[in-house]
Amino acid sequence: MLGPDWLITLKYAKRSLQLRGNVMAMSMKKGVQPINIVILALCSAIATVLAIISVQLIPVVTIPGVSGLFLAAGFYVPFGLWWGIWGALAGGISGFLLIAAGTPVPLASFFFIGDLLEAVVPLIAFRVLKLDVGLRNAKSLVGYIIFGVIGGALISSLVGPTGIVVTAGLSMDAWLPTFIPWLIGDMIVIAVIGIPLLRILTPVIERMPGYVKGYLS
Amino acid sequence: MGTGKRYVRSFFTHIDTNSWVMRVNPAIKVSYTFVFSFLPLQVFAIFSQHVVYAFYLNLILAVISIGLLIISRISLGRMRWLFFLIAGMLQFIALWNILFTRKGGMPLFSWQVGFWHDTVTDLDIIWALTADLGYLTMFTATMYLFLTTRDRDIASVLETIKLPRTFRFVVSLIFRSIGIFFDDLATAREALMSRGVDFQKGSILEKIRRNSRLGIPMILIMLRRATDIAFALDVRRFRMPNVKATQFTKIRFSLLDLVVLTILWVVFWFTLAVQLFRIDPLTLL
Repeated sequence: MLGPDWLITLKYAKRSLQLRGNVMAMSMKKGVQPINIVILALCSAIATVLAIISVQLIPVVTIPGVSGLFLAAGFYVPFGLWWGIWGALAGGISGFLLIAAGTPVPLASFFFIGDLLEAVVPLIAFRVLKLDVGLRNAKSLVGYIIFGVIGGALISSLVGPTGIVVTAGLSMDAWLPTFIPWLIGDMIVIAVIGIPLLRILTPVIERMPGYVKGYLS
Repeated sequence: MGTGKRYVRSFFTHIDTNSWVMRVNPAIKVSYTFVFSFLPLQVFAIFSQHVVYAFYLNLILAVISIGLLIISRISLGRMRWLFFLIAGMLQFIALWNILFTRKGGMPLFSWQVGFWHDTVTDLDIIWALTADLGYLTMFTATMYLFLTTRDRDIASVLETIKLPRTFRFVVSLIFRSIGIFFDDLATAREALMSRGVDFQKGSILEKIRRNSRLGIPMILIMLRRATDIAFALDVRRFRMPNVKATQFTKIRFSLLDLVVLTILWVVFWFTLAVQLFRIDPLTLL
């Protein structure tokens, strides 16, 4: 006969399985779920932490809030591919929250737009062209390089330097010398960090709740 | 017996609960940051042809914003690295404006480098200083918010202006999680260092690769937390669209708070109107 300890253990195990079942059932529901909102918040927090670390690690001394190599970009582009608009928004929010690193609010608004578009462009490309987020074939890898590495970095480097010129009261002569290193830096980071991240973590994240196959759910 | 001093944590530092800064309405702090972040830009736009007026206006704004930071008597020790960056930025702005801006005025000196040559005038230098003061105002106004405000204060302000509960929840969770993830990052970094990873050595690309490896455990930790939090929300019947919930903290407005808020926003909208409708500012002065 099973003693009281075993019964309690069984009860606990049954409840634990029910809870797991609830989580898995939650992930199979259609439409936007609370987990999407939570992932948006937590991804924004991670991207912001990485953004602030980038600014501290490799600062551009003449422009606070700007890093020579913006590590966060290598993360929030994959976030957009894994979690759709929620991950892409996290990138935009991390750009805005560089106000915590000395960036004025108007300039941070430009960063929000630039970083958001940087993640949205590859997201749309991957969904429209039905590319593999895990980069498990050559077509997907080439697509990531074109739309993620080049396209995303280009969009961000068009918006960011424009914001710097406008908010710092500089003439347009300052735009090109800011645009070129921005573009190169973002391309390096999105390629060097993003590609291994997508190949290593996509098989894990695909199986977890919150993974977005479309744009919102 | 202790001194009785208690401290609360803002985003970057700790503030004495008896400090006057803690008694300022959070809505005023947020409004001040927003308005003073945009006013210098509006001064640039409105007074671009009247350099001296722009200089004096930005000087007034800079004195107010720096003065507020000083009289708050907040420890800025942890922010030393930021001030170093700002000093660099101000030099860059000044130099660029002196060399490439053409505002007319009395010529002071000429320069030539290769094919490029230009003449620097007194108004170019004044405009460069104006741009510096404007950027300094924006920076100190933003820093004031982060040094004197808690994350729950920001959430209370968002609730006061009736933003949706989902949006308020996301903002609160972001601010709470940033501190937690900084700790997780430090833990992951120490774990990797104990396994022989050296974050200081190597080329820039190698440093990027090593630092980016920290992102993988953080993402996995984040996913585990996300699942737990989402389940907790489900258990507490957090639903979308928004269901009215009880708010733990409420902001109360005094007459002085309302007066200050009115002044701030009237100034902001007035300058915006002058800029949008291209009104000659000298007709108003």
